[in-house]
Amino acid sequence: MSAFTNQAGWERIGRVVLGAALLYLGWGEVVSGGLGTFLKFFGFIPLITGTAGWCPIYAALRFRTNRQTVGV
Amino acid sequence: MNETPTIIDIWAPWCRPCRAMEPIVDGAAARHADRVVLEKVNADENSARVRELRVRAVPTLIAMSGDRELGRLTGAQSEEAINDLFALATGHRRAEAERMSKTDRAVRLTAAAAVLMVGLLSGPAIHLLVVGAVIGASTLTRPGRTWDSG
Repeated sequence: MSAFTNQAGWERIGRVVLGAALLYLGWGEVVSGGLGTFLKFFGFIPLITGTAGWCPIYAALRFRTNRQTVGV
Repeated sequence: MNETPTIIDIWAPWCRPCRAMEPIVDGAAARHADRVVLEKVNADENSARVRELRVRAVPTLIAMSGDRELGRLTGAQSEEAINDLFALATGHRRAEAERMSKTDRAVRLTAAAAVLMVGLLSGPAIHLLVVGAVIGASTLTRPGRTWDSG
């Protein structure tokens, strides 16, 4: 595996912003209860996948939003 | 052994992206004519060569140095990506390839800033500040693009 990213730049930024917003809702206690606890951890998923530029679901489905493929 | 870098362009007559990329590839080859050899392989007429190169789709561009594969591009590519592959073959791009791309750096800095801000607004939440700092620090070290050898 060498063509490591499968997300376009706009999607990566969007995921990062979404992840940060969800984390704020959870950790900032804007949302409380079970949903708040859920958001505290779920927010890390778009944040991490956006930061890395690689989505495991995309990889499983052989889908990508960036066009460039580099590597063997 | 011939160590002159070679760009192998695997194409097919029916392949539209191949035709679209042809002038870009030819132009890059002309600019690097003294350092890189361009080998064009018609996939329809050279199935043995295609199998040997483990090509699964056209267009495919492969940068080789002797028997060593430096990098490969599969599918329609931007002019920038094609030029990058030629530069990689000539060895001029290796240092740059090991640096982080602008997009990667922008995304990471955005993530770091966002997480730090959330961390500050949430208490502060120390672990979020740590995560933000780690993401920010990663912009100093990790390559944004990976070129693998075959």
